[in-house]
Formats: sequence, structure tokens, C-alpha cells
Amino acid sequence: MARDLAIDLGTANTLVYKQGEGIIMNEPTVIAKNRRTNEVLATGHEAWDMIGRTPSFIVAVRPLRGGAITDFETTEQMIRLILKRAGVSRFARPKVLICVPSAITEVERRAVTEATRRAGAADAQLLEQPMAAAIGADLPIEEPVANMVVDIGGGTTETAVISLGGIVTLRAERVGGFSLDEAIQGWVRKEHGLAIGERTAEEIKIQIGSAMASPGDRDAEVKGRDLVTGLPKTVVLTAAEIRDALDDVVTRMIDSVKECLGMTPPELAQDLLVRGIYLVGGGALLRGLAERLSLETKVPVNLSPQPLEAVVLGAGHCIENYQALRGMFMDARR
Amino acid sequence: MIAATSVASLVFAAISISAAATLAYLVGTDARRPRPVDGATRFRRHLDALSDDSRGHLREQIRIAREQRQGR
Repeated sequence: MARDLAIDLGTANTLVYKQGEGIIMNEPTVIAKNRRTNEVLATGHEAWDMIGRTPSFIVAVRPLRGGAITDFETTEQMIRLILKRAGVSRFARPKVLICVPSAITEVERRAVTEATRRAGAADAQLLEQPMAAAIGADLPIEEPVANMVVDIGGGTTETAVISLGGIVTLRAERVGGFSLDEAIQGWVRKEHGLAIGERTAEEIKIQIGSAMASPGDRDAEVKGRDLVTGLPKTVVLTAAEIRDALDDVVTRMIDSVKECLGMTPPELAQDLLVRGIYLVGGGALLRGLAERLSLETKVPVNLSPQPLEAVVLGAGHCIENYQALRGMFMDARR
Repeated sequence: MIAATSVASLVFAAISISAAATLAYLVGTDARRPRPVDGATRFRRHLDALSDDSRGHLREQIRIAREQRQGR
């Protein structure tokens, strides 16, 4: 009998949970294709290594951008490959639960479920990422108290207040980890006249990126192409200037959380002063973000122990209790 | 006369067996059919599936994920 699957189809990474086994796949959401034949050449880590380094006939792309599906055909190919690698065949057709951004459109929703069914799933259901994240962060969401989770993914920042097993308020903003990378690329181009790729920008973010000043701030050397001479060049970036570069994006993330707090019913809002906000997602790992969010909202902020895996682990719990939790799936509520 | 009686007995026996088999099949099918559950029960099951007691497997998976991260 086929074991059911949960998939966190994120803008940055795709994680797969298999019923009774746990996480069986954790890879970048990247696919490399032959431009001429449209054949898939590589996916995941292998395709990620190709970004910005491919000859003209190969294209390495992320089929999801800003939490939205920008390339339906490639997304379908990707889902097909994921299911094949997870052991789905004509004779083993599992139920599949896919975690998607809450701001997904009707067209995208239908495209994902249809692609999953065509790829061999017996049934395909969707679940909002913040709900899955709250379960995966081990929050007591079945209790009549406020649980606020902020999921900062590659393309979106989603904030939800959950109580009694359902979402009370939800706010999604199309800004995430990739927006931080783009901000760094733009800053280095403007201030240093240097062109850098998205992978380099991400490395800078991980090395010296921060949302608040801290005693451990340091500098980093970056190599790129001089925009004037066209020659390779090295410059030194300071943590303070990268913080300036990231400030607009970080402010948008925090404003989105504040808006969700503003929509929360008063009875639940007071719980948050005690229980705090829980941060999940790769963007939550930005140094100083939790401290700055706490400073600006006056609410304690906790970083989930497993920020990158919380969504897929939460979806995995739903797969393990499929019948009882069916009511949470997006289709069931419509 | 005896032959006619035995044929009739066989026919009745066949009818009885097929009736019993049909009845058993119908009872079995009915037992397997999911019963409609009222909203309160469904909501209670939903909360139970999210409760602390039902999270043993989830916590085990969180522990495994943490160990894998530390091992990297």
C-alpha cells in the first residue's frame, strides 16, 4: 500500500515527508532544463549549483517566485519528479498534501492539485503554510489561546494567529529571503558599482546580514564584475552597510506582522503578550530579526527550534491524522 | 416422485444459500460504509488530533530533524 506524502513546496526549498518515515527529501526548488528540447537535466542541489553558470542552451530556474507559481509547466515537471523519487507509481498511488502560501490564487491552486493528481497521486489536498508551520513548531493550537506564527520563507512573509485548531487572522506579504538577496545585489551595484549574482548575495546575507546591530558584526570580502571596466573586482562590505541595504525589506516584514496584530481580536491579542510570537522559515535566521521584531511590536519573540523543517513536519502530522484533520485543508473549507 | 422432491429440495437449498450470502454481503457493506458524523464530534476529533497526546510522533520527528541539523 502506498504511504501518503506531505510536500512543502517552498520558493527556496522543497521538503517531502513520507507517512511513517519522516522527512525523505530536502532540496532547493530549482530545476535545470535544456532550452531547446525542454528536457529536465537536473533538479535540487545539482540544479542549484548550475544557477548563473550555465551555457546558453541550459536554463536553471526557480518555478516559484514571491510565493507564486511563475512557470506552471516547470512546476508540474518538478512535482512529477518529486513524486517519482518518493516512490509513486501506477501501482502505488498515495494521497498527497501540499503546503502552499496562503496568498495562492485560485488558478495556482487548481494547477498544483491537477499537476499532483496527473503525476500519480490518488488525492491531492492543499494546506496553508502558516497552519502547517504552527503544528510543526509544536504550538498548542488546539487550545482556546492565541498562537501567532510568522513564517518568513523565500518569497513570502506569512503571519497567522491560530486558536482552537483554526486560523483567526492571516496576513501575507510578498517579501521574503529572496527580497533580502535582491536588496544586497541592488546595494552593491549602486554603492560599489559591482555586479554580483544571487548566490553571492545570499552568501553575504548569511555571513554578515543582520536586522539589528550586535557586538559580533564583521566585514566580508565580495567578488564580482566591475560595472565600468567589466573586469573582475573585489570589495569589502561592512555589516552596517548591509544592514542599511536590508532595512527596507525588514521593515516591510515587520509592518506585515504589525498589521496582523492589529487585526487580532482583543481577547487573543492579550494572550500574545504572555505567549509571544513564534518565528519559522529560513528568513527567521537573519541575525537580530527576532530582537528587532520584539522591540518594534513590544511582544516577546521566540525562534522555532526547527525553522526550516517546521512546515513539512506540521504537514506530516496532518498526513498521519489525515481523516481527523481533513477539515483544515483548503478544499474542505470552500 | 422422489426425484422431483429431491430436485425441489436442491432448488430451495440453493435459494436459501444465495439469500444468506446476499444478506451477509449487504450487512458487511453497510458496516463498512462511513457513518455521517455530526459537527461537534468532527470538531472534537479535529482538536484531539492536534492535542498534546497525539503529538508523540511529531516530537520524535522534530528530535530527528534537530539531530540531523547538528550533525551537518
